[in-house]
Amino acid sequence: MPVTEAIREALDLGTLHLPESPKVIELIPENYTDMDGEASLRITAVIDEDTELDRIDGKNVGLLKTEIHRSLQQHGIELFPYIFIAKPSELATEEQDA
Amino acid sequence: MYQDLIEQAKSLAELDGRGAPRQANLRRSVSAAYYALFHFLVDQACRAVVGTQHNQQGFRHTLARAFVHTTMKSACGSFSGTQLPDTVVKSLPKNQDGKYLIPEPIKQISTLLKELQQKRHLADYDLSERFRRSEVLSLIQQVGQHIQAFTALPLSDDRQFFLICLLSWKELANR
Repeated sequence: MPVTEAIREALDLGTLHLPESPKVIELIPENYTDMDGEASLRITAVIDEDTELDRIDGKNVGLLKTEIHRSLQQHGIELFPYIFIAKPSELATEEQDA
Repeated sequence: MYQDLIEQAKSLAELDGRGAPRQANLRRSVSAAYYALFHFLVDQACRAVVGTQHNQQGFRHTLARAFVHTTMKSACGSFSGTQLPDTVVKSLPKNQDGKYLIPEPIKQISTLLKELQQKRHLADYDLSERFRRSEVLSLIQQVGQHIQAFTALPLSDDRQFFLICLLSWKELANR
């Protein structure tokens, strides 16, 4: 099943109130089924390449995820979003390895 | 226990320095981060039921063995949403809109447990999943912060109710 327009709208970086750090540069949603067979979403939050990993603030990561949850619920999407964080270079390495 | 597990998770995630991290280290790190949160919540629940005195430790440790991962995930799935099931919420105090409001730190730690349990499952069993250092370090930081926020919650009925639900959700939600 394709990702719906409502999901894309809910994840529009122009309207989400995300923390400044870690800076999210892209949100990639995919339909997902979790370990219990529950229909869900898998969202890759691509963060700025220059983000210093040892300075990532757990509170901001929580705020980032909470805002995504809030926006999805506001758009009537009840699917639980499993959010994964990645840098562009990490995604590129995976593509090379594949 | 949970503090040691957070330290262990961090050590594993940083073990390979700035080079390409080994998947085995990142996977064990995710697992340790999950168990840090799991043991923290179980300990808090046992303290709520048994008591916090040192001489009650044996009772707490015995009760801790009764917690079930899937029951906790199911409870946390409900507490992470906007509203609990009607059967659970019907006798709880409500606001002017007729809704039981779940305190934000409870909602957040519930969301994190559900998310982490899925990721722990992937880390332990799904070799097609590839873990990234930025993901793992973010998770560890989030676990530490959410534990801190939950610890700062006053000993309210909401807090105690949530903790007991981690043990009794299966029966409670199906009544």
